[in-house]
Amino acid sequence: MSNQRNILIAVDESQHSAHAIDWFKSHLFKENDKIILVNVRSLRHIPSVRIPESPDFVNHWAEIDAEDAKKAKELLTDMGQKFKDVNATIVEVNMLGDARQEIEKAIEGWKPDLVVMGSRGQTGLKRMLGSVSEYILHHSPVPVLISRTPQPL
Amino acid sequence: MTATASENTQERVNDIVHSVPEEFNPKRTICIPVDGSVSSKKAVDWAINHSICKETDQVVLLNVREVPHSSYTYPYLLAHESLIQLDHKLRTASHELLQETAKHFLSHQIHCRAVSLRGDPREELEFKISHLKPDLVIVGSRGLGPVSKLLVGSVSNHLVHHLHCPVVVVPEHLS
Repeated sequence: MSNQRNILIAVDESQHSAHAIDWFKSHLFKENDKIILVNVRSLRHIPSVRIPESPDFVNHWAEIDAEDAKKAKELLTDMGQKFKDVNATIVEVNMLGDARQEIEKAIEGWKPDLVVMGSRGQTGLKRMLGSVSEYILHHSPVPVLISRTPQPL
Repeated sequence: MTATASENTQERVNDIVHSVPEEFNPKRTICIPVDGSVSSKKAVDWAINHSICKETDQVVLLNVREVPHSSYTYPYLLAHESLIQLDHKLRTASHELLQETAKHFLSHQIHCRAVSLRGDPREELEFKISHLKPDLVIVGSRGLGPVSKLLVGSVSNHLVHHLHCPVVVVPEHLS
């Protein structure tokens, strides 16, 4: 009899994220794992000083975010599909805000046995470790897997 | 001015303390740097509980012992012989730690190699691991260093930034 493990996986649209999930599934996944897929989208940038073009400015922003939320949900479902051939429980967590803080909160809430992150996400810079992964690595009370996407030679 | 015990600082130390049986053909290699610290022990436990499949995996344990040197804080230079004795003590301690840890893995029927290295932990581990090309590295977040405010110590931080393989960092206060 084994306890169900909670595995929290940070998901974004990058190839690093998809690769992290594939790697986790082929190397560390155990039957009956609960996979908590977390995506954090940020608010579309609203300029700090701007005269709204119309009184419906606020509603317009809400429409834009609704589109983003829908895309995020689709992304999470797609990633969850990677586990359809195995015995896994998938939880989709769709969050809005600063990725670092929201993932940190999700870790506090779910208390996972492992956090899975890609080495980089949306950061275009060619650093070895993106800012969100770096932050989570330094602030997580639970083990963190930093997976690496093999670089083309 | 510092003096070191080693005559040839060019040669890398690579003491094999424990090996796997020749007939064992592992499909995966999991590398675990150890230093006797709390988070190092947690990394070992986590590895056994969560990631090792005894039929297909070999574990490679690494320990890096530092090079003893007299520091400017000492009122006098340590005599050359004392440095050699100290170096020998560090070597023995490293081997003992590795053998003890290897025994722990063997008690779980996990095949295990153990290698003692010498020098700067960050450099030696990066060099050795880049040659080993393991499937996974599992490391404690903090070692025996004095700066306890940092959640992630300098060695694990270095490894996460410089290795090309996946790394699991296991925190010190893991329950």
